[in-house]
Amino acid sequence: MAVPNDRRIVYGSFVVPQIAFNTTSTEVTREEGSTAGTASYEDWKLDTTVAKRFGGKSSGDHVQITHDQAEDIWTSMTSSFQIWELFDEKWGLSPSIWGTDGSSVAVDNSLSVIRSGSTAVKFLYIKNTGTVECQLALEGDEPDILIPPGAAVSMRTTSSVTFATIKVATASSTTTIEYVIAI
Amino acid sequence: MSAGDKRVLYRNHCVPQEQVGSGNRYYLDSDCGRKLTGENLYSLGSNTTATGTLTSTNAIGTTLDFIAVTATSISSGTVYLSLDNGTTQVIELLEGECFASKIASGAQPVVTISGTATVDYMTGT
Repeated sequence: MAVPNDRRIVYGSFVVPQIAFNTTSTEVTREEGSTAGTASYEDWKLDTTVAKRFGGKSSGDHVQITHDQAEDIWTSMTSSFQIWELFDEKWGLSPSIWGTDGSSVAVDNSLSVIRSGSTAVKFLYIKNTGTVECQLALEGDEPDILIPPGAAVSMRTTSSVTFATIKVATASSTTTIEYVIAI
Repeated sequence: MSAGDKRVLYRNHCVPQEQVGSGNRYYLDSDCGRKLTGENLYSLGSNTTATGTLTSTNAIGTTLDFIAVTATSISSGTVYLSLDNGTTQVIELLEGECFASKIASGAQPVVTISGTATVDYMTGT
């Protein structure tokens, strides 16, 4: 891929804690026996213990990352089929070379690194695109962060986090992830 | 569900951007090609939530299921988050930034503040 003049990542989080409650019934019984209004039902509202939403967003220069990421695999969105050297398409032939691999990386129950090397990572984003919870370790071999199916984590990482320290696994079975691991 | 049950809706997203030439505007990074986001509605059931504010280095708690940590203000210094009881700081928060995620019960999140900063957090247990 061509190397741009600069790269950055805008990131943010949004959290709404909720608590279930019983709504107030507005149901009344008419003289002839029919009812009007709405009976009490269970609904969700902002958690009264927390009493506010949480969240945040990067600002200013956001997360400044290296303009030359050195390898195309700094994101999972780069398909293994998108390599010009492999492209020998000819008009009139089946365009199978343009197929994609879905941008997802398989994760099994063996704790393993996504990218190898000792380079420090500035920003990390991982989304679980599968159906089994993904575990993420940033240091050591104890996965402290859990990523349920459909969920994602995004973070500005310190220089303690390198390619080699970012490890993913599942408790059992397999799932898939998409990622951004930027230096 | 029953009255008093709790859950947390959380989303994390990022937008990689690239600047083709010096002084130009930033566009969606062509290596990614799209904005990235994920969300989860995490049910805590009858478990509890709590909040707190830190102005100095402190642990958030133990045996937690969910944390959201926001650096609400940083006048000077840095704010780091570790998940191993303060041994290795793995996440940095600049002013206005938030880390939110479900965590393993064995994680021990500690916020390290050097300088003058205020950090708000909430937990689900």
